[in-house]
Amino acid sequence: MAGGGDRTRRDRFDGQFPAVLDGVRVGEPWAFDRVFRTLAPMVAGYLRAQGAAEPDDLTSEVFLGVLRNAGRFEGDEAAFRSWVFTIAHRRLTDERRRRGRHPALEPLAHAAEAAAPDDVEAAVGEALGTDRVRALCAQLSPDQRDVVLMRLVGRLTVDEVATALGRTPGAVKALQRRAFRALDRALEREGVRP
Amino acid sequence: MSGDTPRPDDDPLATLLDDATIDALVSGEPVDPRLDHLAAFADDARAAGDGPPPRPSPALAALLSHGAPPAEAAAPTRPLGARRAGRRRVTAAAASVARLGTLAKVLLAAALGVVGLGAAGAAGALPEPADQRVRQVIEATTPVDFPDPADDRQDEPDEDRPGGHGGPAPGATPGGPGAGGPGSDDPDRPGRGDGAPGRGPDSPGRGPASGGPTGGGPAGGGPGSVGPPTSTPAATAPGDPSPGAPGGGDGNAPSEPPGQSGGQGQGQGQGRGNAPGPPGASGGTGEAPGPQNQPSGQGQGTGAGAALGRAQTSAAGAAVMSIRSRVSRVEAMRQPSPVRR
Repeated sequence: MAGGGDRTRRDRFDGQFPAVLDGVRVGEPWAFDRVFRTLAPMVAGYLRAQGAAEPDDLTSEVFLGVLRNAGRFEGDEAAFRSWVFTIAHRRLTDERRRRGRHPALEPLAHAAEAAAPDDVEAAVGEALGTDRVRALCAQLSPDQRDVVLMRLVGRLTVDEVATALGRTPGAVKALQRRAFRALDRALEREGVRP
Repeated sequence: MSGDTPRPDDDPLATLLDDATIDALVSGEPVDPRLDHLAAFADDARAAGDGPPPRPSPALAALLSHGAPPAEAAAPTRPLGARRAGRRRVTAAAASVARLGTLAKVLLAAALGVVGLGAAGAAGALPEPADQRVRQVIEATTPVDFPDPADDRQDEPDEDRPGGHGGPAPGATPGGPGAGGPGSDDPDRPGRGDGAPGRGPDSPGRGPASGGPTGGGPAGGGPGSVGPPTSTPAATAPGDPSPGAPGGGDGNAPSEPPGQSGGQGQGQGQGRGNAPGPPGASGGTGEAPGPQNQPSGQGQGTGAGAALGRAQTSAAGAAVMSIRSRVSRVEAMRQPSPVRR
């Protein structure tokens, strides 16, 4: 079963996705806003955990592309999420290519700047958590990292990840299995493992 | 990468990480206590996607505030999968052609060329000389008769008229292969009508219409020259050495030099040699519309073969006629209306 345990979270639009998509197709601002508020946190978190240099700007680029082209999209909510993350992943790849570098860990202080300033304590805690996730994921292969972060941060099922990355579900399962085993060993080396 | 080489034998916990357990970790459900460290990591990762949306860029903020104009909200089009399927079909077709043998490729190319040329000719899209050639071929191989453009150009000088050149003008059709002068019994003579049986499937009179010019020679100036458009079966009575033939059915080319007229007419009409016989040789016969030529029967083809040929070509002829009629209608519609003026 691919992600069957979190099926209750699959509906991010509270059953209103068809109406939202119809609104997006005709350029309704409320529909655009709904799509952005629903999916942007996950996209931004994915890009941040992937080590994007400017995750917020990149998120805006992603949704500009999504909203400008959503009129031609046909499919259900799951397919829409896969499509959004496909665009996000491509934008990330483009950014890495532009900068000519691979994702690298950034200093903790710099990571904290990306958090929302309203609740400093929560923001710092989130930054710490994100930094920790990023540090651990940096020990994975790029393919494993893509799969794990799309599954955990993007809340995508195995099938959705497979669609977003252009792989088979079997390949995604194999990658996530290896990724969690690698994380297990990395945490063991840190002495975190029970 | 270390993650690519799991060692379940060395680490018993690795066996716990099956697909179901991973799904539980991803969704935040309880897992084996020995995997709490991974569960904690999964919680942190999920939290990374739970924050508020980031601040949109100015361009995105404008889009979120005002929406998109209808032009940008494009209508749904073919999904990516359909476009890929289309490309796959094209690729598969190309691969199929690539797998063909050389002979098959040549035949395929020839067939495509013939079909394309025929369609273009039927639609009148080719230059005038080429168009006439194609029409003539179509008329020679199918039961189709194209309207005579000469009818629409009555006022034009003779030299511009198809018949004036002894060419395959549709108007010359009635002339038929009339080649072969009355006294030309030699079957090798271009003008000989005996070539007609080979074209048996061709409906009489339609054939090698170019015969018109043949008779259009000087001899054609005779009395029978008034019969151009009759397109009677007698036209293909080439072998009929009827002495009454001297009138050459085609009155279109009275000024044509005998040799030229006769030669072209015969060559195109019968597919035989182009050797323009002497004026007297080729011009004389023609197919006089006289009744004596009607029963010649040679133009009817050669029995069963002719019937089969007609049956095979009837479908193609109907299609060509359909195209032609549509083109004619379009051309008619393009004519400026006096009322509008």
